[in-house]
Amino acid sequence: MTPPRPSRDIANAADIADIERELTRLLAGELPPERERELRARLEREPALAAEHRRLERAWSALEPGAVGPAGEIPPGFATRVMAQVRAEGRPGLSWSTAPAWARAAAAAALVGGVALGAGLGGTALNAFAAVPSSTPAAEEAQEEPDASVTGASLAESYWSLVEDVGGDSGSALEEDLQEEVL
Amino acid sequence: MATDTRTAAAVDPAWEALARVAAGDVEAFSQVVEAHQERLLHLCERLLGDREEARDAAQEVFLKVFRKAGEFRPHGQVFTWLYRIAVNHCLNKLRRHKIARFFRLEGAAADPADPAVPAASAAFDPPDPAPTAEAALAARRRWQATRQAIATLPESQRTVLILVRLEGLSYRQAAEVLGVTEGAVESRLVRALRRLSAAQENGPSRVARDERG
Repeated sequence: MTPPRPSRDIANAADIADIERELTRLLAGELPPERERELRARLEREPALAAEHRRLERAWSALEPGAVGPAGEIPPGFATRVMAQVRAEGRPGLSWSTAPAWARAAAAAALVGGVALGAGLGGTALNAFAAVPSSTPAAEEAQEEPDASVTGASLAESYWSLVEDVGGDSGSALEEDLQEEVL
Repeated sequence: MATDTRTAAAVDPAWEALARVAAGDVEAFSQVVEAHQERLLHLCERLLGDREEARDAAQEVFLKVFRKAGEFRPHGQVFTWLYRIAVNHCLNKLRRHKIARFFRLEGAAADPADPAVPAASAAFDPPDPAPTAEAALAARRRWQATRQAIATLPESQRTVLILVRLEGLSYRQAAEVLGVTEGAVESRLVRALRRLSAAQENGPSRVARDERG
């Protein structure tokens, strides 16, 4: 089957390939309004161009959404099954070393923020009990200055290591359980 | 870079959910699944031409997306990124299994004269019957010719046709999904339409010949 080429008399010196592209853009609604008006005006003036347009339009219309059968409904429980598999995986395949900079920055910021918030709340709570002369070992520990060597990055790195450790075993065990359940 | 996520989230909130997934919040992924399952299932069904296979594929695609959550770069709409993964996944699946059935008619037998014509399926139903018997027959012939032509289109043209015509993507979105230029999308679509048009013009005589045979 050799695809027919547009008639040579479509347009004087016009590039036939360009005409086809323009007509296809017209069908796909990809032409800017002004260009569309121009092309439609040409279609009324030039019968050969109009014939070419009808030919392409017939092919385009054969694929009307109405001609395409409704795609299947979402299978019941589809999202649940996906999430069960996702949970079985435990966490995305992300390590601190391969994580994008933004993710590292966000994780570090969240951890630093969490530590700061915790320290702030802890401090407030301790201040409230400052009048109490005796102090428990735990309170003394909480009053200690945080280790200056602990940076956001190292905290975040520890976090990812911890997540990797936790995610490993429990993830695979859970996956096996769920696979059995699903099957 | 967190700003990138915020900016992109303003365009598509699903980026924010993916950012949370990337940060370890597994449950946030349910938002992505809920928001995109329908579109993804339909796309897989149109690419694979098989409802059951499409379900499996869509599930696998979501898992891939989950695994890749840490690699994404917030840009544009989430669905174009999902579509890209889905298109690659389905095409690889088709290549692996050498499946030639992208489109099919429910209840129709495969055309014995043309191995490229897929067997029964519901992914791509024929147009509504025309008002008169004669017109209905002509429409049916045109449709069969079109279907055969779609089945024999090169993979690149067929994929563009599905994305632009059936999924309603713009040239730009289709180009993003396929990782090609808009010009490439355009030329593939033009070539696909040219073939479909030729099939419609040449089809009836062939269908008549088949019916006689």
